Amino acid sequence: MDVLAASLPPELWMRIFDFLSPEDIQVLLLVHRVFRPFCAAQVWRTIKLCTLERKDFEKAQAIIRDPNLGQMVNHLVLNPAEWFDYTFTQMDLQSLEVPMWAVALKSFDLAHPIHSIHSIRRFGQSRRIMAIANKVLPLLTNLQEITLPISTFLRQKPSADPYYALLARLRAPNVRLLFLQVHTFANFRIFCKAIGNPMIVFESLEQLILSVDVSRGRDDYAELADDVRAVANCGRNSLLGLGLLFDFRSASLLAKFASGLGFFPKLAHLHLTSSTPFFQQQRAIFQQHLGSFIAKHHNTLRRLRMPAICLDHLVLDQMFADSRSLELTGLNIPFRYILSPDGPAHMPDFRRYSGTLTTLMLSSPTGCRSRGLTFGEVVAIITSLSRPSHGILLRRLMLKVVHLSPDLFDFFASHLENLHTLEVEYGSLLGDEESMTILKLPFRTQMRRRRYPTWRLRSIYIYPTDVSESGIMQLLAECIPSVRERGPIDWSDVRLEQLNVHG
Amino acid sequence: MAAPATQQIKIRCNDEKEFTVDRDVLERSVLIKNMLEDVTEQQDAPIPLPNVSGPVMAKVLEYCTHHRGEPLPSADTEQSQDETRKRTTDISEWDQKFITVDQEMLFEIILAANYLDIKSLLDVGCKTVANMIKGKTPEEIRKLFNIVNDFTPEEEAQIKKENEWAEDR
Repeated sequence: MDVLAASLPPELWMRIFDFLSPEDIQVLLLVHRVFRPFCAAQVWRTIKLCTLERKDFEKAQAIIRDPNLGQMVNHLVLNPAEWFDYTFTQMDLQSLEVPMWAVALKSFDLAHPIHSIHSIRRFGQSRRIMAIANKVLPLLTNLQEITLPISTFLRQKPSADPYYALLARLRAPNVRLLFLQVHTFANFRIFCKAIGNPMIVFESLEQLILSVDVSRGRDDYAELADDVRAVANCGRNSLLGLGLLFDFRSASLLAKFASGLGFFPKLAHLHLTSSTPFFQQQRAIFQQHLGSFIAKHHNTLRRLRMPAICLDHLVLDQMFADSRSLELTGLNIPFRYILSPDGPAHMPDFRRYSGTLTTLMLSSPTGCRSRGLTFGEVVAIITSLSRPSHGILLRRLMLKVVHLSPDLFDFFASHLENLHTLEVEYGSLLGDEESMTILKLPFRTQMRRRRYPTWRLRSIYIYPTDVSESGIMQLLAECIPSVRERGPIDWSDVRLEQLNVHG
Repeated sequence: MAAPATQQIKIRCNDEKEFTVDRDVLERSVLIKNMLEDVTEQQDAPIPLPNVSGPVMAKVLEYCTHHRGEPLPSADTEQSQDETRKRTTDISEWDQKFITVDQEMLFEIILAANYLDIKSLLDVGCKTVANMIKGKTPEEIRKLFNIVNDFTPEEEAQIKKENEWAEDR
């Protein structure tokens, strides 16, 4: 081992590995013996009991064989919703209502009426992983973070669902962060019942992040607050985060939600997701309730993530009139705005925040894949964000479904000088009606003539595209000296819709 | 009213090299900040920093001077940033230029940032090393850090087999 690499103590290598993907860590395992212990800790840090993929299965089996490995696991992701097969070939158990968050994860179009989907069934495979999870869970004695996307398949009667018994096996005295995607208030109540006495199970809990859908209006916020207190008050420093998905169809629902927040005086994080845009009347109610809530909770509220597109800048300004430290760093512009008959001109004016905007995602519901963004539309949006005196700070740009063209790269290179990461999902080099062979060749020829010697683009990922990935990477690397391909996009890592409020 | 004169602090590195620096610049180092808080009276004797050499300290001071006045991360913000810190290897333009140094200096800066407890600089250093590693093959990483392969081909195959499931995607 060379003295240079050996000169860093293990804890600093661990810190470096924090910034690496599991793939890179796996590669490091093969570099030198000295990295193995650090890499192992990293590899074992998280266990996902979600699917019966071989990697998860073997990791769990390894822990069962060697219980010492269980102590290295800090983060557990337990997602029985993925213990089902969607191929409908081996169904044998009960039918199941698909929760809204699962629908979202499976990339269904949330704009469509989703409550009608409830026929996916689980089958025998879940028994197998349930058996494994039952053995593994008690061995995870050093968990610090648990992610539980539990949902509507939790049954009211414990005897009806083995998941209750599984949850009761959680032994988590060191858990600081509990992230629950419960979908409904009722599910959270069932969860509290299922884990028995939370005072024992989560005695070190510092943060409870609860993800619920508040769209249906049947929910009792006071009751939810009681349940939250039962879990969150057991910690030393019970901060609380709520993730709320709303699909408001009426102003009264919105008012109920906004006033319901009043039951959470210690709220530290509030993540709001909306699948529908606000109407003018709703905006006013939203502003009134959420605005006064934020004003009251300025001391405890540390992070507010919300779809900024739902509000125009006037509302944002009024809501944060007292806070000069409001920073809008991430913005997600859904396609429905871009593709509306009024076009990008219809979008709220975000120019006043563009001084801090570093991340921009142009997203699309799945159903829109056939209609990608054109060059003109991308240019219109980005131009609408720039101010003559400030330009655009944009460092990360994520596009879903876009027609890649040499012109687009020219535009990015000349207008987004700070851009260092470009991620394109469902990029296409094709026009809607052109054939693949006709357009691929001109793209390559034209790109070969391009040179962007000063463009500092460092990472690029295009997936999937209609030409080979290696081919396009090679092509871009020739044009942009600093370009480097990064790993596959992990969208769960991408923090969007983020308003950072520094108290 | 005239602004109060900034207090100047002397430090001495392990190669006897001394620096006289504004207190607010030095206080980006939590180690030195705590040291200074412990000292009630002004003293002229330089603060000894036995783990840092002059050239490395000069670089560290360049960083601290550029970032002077920026809020130091509190325990709270650090906690809330912890989850996002992972895997976010973005480095600002200035920091990137600053950290473009040879490998030996890079490792020295990381060690110094760790010793002096300057979290933001430590992150810049660690991210830089991580960025150097990302996407490379084992052989490329060995070449990069001048590491000799100590695995036999059999061992290598065995490790590959053991860990092929470890991918998290």
